[in-house]
Amino acid sequence: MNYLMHLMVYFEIFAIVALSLNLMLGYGGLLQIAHAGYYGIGAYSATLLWVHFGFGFIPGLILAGVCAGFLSLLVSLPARRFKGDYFVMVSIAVQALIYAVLYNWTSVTNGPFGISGIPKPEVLGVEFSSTGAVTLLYGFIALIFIGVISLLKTSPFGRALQAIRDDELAAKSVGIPVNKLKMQVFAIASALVGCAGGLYAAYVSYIDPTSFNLNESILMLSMVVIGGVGNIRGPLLGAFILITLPEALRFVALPDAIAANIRLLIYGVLLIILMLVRPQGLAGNYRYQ
Amino acid sequence: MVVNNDANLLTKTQTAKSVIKKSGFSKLVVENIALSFGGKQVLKNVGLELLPGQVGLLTGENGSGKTTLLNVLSGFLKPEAGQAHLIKEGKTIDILKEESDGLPLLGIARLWQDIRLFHTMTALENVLTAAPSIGINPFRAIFQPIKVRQQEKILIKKALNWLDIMGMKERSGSSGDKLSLGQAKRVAIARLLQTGAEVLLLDEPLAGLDQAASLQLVNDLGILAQETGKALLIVEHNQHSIIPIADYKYELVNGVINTTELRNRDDVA
Ligand SMILES: Nc1ncnc2c1ncn2[C@@H]1O[C@H](COP(=O)(O)OP(=O)(O)O)[C@@H](O)[C@H]1O
Ligand SMILES: [Mg+2]
Repeated sequence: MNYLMHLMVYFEIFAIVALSLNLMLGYGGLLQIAHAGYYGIGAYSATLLWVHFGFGFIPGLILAGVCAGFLSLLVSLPARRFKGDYFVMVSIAVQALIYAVLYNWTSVTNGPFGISGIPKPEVLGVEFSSTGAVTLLYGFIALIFIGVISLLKTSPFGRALQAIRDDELAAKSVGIPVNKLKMQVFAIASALVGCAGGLYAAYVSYIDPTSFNLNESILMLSMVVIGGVGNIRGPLLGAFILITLPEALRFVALPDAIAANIRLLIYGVLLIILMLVRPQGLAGNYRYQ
Repeated sequence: MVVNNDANLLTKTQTAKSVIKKSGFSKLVVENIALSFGGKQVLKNVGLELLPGQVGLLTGENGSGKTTLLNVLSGFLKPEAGQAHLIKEGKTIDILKEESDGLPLLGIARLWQDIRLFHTMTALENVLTAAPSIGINPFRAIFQPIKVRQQEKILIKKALNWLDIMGMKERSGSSGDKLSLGQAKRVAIARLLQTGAEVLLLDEPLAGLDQAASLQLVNDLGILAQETGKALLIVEHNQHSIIPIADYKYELVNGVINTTELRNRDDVA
């Protein structure tokens, strides 16, 4: 039971991760490869604020989102260019850079040893120390974020993003400020995933750079692509599958030495089959191109 | 063509003067535009003028540079030389200095030769994308959802009205990729109207339409220009179909425009 609740917490965190990435990929048409990097920025900022500066859980979480969102502006403001290949290259570089900073800036991040002793979530004087309590708290927070994302999706902002994704030139020709909107959606998605990073840190109480590397970014992308882009249920389904699948595979008796590799192989094969059979993802509205 | 009373449209009885006042703009002036691709000079010295309610026919051989000129006037290409100004409410807008996504709000917008509807949206949503709305700001979308929704209601009414005017109200719920070519063009024109721009650049709106559909659209465009005071620059290879509603014929030959004033419109004295 405790184990199921543990999975539930992960699902709640990754629901926010996948939905925020979907804002970029599914609505903004931006192939973000550094999402785990912004997730890490959120996790580390929140941790430092909580551990070293005595911030409360919620203020630290919000500031972590602000930091990640602010970083996205540092990336998008100077270039103001979001053309496909260019953006992909930049985001790969950003992912590598963030990882390198987390790994090497030992005086702040403690490098590869990570930071431990991160305080448990505490809201209004109530400490959420048991897994069950965290499940409830994070479920509540995830619902708020889902509400915010649906509000955005159904607003003129969401419609304008959809227009950009469908046809960028046509969007410009009807007066949609394309670059500005991409910058905004990038900042919002980064802020949301930054908060998710903070939630993760508070739950596991220990973070190190390996949770925020390129592999993790690819896992996040897989969630969105497998589940399907462009709506809310797709990324949720994708997050659910990619969190429960490894656990399900645990019950298949695999020799320890090759279990990890077999798991990767199964992901790969699943992804390929899915792309062939259902390119729009399991519950997606349309195909990401 | 159905024109609602509550629309921002003018009745036929209003004078040209009030049309000018209503539409807010007074003149489009394009002078000496030059542009080349590689070594090939497509536009050498292009100029034209349009007043509110006027229809200009832009014609010329295939590859003569008609679309290129529209790309310049809608901000998608920057020419090597020349000027383009929109004179509006006493102000002069330098079209060539503006970004393509800023021009519709300033008063000039274009229809694409290949239509370019948003294919994952309904006709109505397509039209709604063109409305400048407060909810395009994500913070207002989150923190002022009621205000945004109230404005949305007004914008939907306006969009349905433009669809109605283009004869597409019944198709407002159809998805963009399920419309016939003729319907898609009409929806795209409704979308163009929703931008609020006063100068509309239409790239081959008749291409691919049969005789009847073509005649009907020309007729509707003529009435639109008259009743809304919008100026239309219509690109058409087959000039005879547009001439009945046109005030000027601008023919692009070797990068230069030959202007012919047409006097066969009864409202142009
Ligand atoms: N982006 C471009 N790059 C290079 N050449 C172009 C480009 N756009 C148009 N041309 C060339 O410019 C000429 C005019 O094209 P266009 O304006 O599309 O003609 P029209 O619309 O009158 O048929 C053609 O010879 C075309 O090949
Ligand atoms: Mg053309």
